[in-house]
Amino acid sequence: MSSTKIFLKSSDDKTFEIDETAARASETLKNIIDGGCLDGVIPLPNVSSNILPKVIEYCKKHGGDNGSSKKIANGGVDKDKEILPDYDEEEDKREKVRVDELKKWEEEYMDFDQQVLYDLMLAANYLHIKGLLDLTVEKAASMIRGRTPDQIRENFNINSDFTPEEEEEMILIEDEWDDEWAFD
Amino acid sequence: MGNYFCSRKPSVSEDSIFKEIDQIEEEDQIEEEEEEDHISNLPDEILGYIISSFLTLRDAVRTSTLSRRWKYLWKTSISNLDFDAETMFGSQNIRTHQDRLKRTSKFIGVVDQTLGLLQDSKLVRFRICSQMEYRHEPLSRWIKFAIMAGAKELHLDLYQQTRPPPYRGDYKNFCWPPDLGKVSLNHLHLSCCTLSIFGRPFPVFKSFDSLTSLSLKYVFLCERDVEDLLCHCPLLEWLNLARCNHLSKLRISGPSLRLKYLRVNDLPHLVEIKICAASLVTFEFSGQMVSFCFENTTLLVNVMLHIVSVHTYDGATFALRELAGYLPQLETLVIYSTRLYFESLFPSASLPTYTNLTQLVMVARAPEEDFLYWIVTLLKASPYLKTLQLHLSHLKVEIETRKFMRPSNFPHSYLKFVEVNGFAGYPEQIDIITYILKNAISLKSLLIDPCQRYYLGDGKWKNHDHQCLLSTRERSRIYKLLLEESQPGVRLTIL
Repeated sequence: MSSTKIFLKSSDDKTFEIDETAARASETLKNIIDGGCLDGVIPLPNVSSNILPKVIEYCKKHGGDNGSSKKIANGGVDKDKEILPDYDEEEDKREKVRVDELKKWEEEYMDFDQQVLYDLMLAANYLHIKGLLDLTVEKAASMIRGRTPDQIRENFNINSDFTPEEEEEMILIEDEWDDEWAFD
Repeated sequence: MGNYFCSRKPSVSEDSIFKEIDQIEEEDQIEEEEEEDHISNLPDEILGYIISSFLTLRDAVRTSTLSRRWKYLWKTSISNLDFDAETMFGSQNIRTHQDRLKRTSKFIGVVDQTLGLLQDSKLVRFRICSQMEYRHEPLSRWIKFAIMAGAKELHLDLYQQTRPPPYRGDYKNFCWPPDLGKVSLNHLHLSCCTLSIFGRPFPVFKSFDSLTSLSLKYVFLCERDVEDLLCHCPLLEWLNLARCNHLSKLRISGPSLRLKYLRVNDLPHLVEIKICAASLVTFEFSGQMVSFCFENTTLLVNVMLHIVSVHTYDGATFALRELAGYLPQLETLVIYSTRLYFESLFPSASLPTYTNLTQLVMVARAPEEDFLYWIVTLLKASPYLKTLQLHLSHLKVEIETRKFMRPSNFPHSYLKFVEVNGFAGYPEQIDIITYILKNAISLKSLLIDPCQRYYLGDGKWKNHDHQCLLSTRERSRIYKLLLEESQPGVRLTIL
């Protein structure tokens, strides 16, 4: 693989370096690179220097892998038999280690406060990095799933700006829905 | 000790003051954080994505009560409405008829309430999956709602606890509304429905004219209905007919048929299929042996055959004697094992050959002593085969493998890629792989996957949840054993 360097400029005019293979994790960057109009530095007016390194970190981890982790392709390589023994076991172990490691990595990677979460979401959305968008969105969704409106508001510091009358109406709707959905 | 008096411990009061200050600072921080509601500042696009793709309908609806910002978000972001009684209410406490009636009432209530909130929404997909206990009256209005909302894909998966065979005029089954007029549906899936109770010509087919894919399961159809259907669906490319009980003769033809994919799945009374479809590329058949006739099917290159036969070797005879004659252009064949009994029944000299077949997928439904013969016979009939995929069974039955003689060696010189699924390390499975390693003289890769898979149709497979039966030690032992059998240059992998 070639390791051509790409330079990205954040909204606050700071430049960051990234390998081309890693940059290809982003559809937006991939299109710019393939479009051939790469002129030194790619400006990213929507991504600040606070969040860009975090995005690059994700791309480095995921660049070059296109989602398929397991199966070997049908392009069977003529490998020398001598180096094959125990290959499968090793491969298998490596695969397991890889998955475990990736999970651990994701856990550590996702350990940040909410502001970073939203900035990452916005950056992933803007740069079209589906894996990162789904990872961040899933974290937000997990804070909504199965919770009461009050719990959700507390999780996200949402202030209910309904008038007291509307509020009452909302509670009614919610109760009615709960009745409707509850099955005992 | 000397320092005792010098060390200045903060007095109790001072200590509590520090605590208070700390608390105040903490509270300040919390207040600061509380002021920021970051999530609501996200663009609609992202919030909509969270709501529509990562939450259940119930959770999505709940977000509308959070604040004004959220009130209408779910309505504008949801484009796929999927009402599945089982995922909504679970299937745990459904035992009696009363339980079922109660669940159906709940289901109707929830769907009606949701649709009530979704007036003027735009939909792409709409699905109902529930037992209706003959309460069909809401279905027509739901269908109309979905069509008004612009849905392109509609699934009506109705099912009954006890399933009486639907017959013409069965008022117990839901009848597709004949008064829909012109609609712009592209994909329709109907299960346990009747298309008309008024007899032919079916007015309902008028609403089918924009369909590109259609799946009918447990739907009453007779021979002429299918002809009508094909006439009224000029754009139809994908057709699945499953368990349509009364169909005995199936004729797939039409003046301007665009059909590319046809699946015939377990039609119990079927005796004859006649296919005259110039555009057909893929044909999949499961069920009892019927009489097949192919006319003008020059583009048909993919076939799946799953012939369930109580007696003898119908399926094998058909696949080995007739199909290659009908469809010499065949490129991919997916075939379920059927009894062969004796190799001598199919001497290789008398077999027609599949001269274009490059991909063969063979599925063993249970451990069968003659599966290897079956494989070898088909390999001999397909001299230019490049890819072979085997799906073995995890079932362990004591079978008398040794009674059968091993097939004699025969070089399969074009076979390059072999994949074996459902490998559990049984001796008869190892025999199969050893045979391949010996006889596929240009083999490049052999991939063994212990996971079992089953066929979903249209080229899609699904993994069984089943656990892998192969221990690491066993795997290593088999790997070494196979490695000894294989020729240099073969990439051997056990997952």
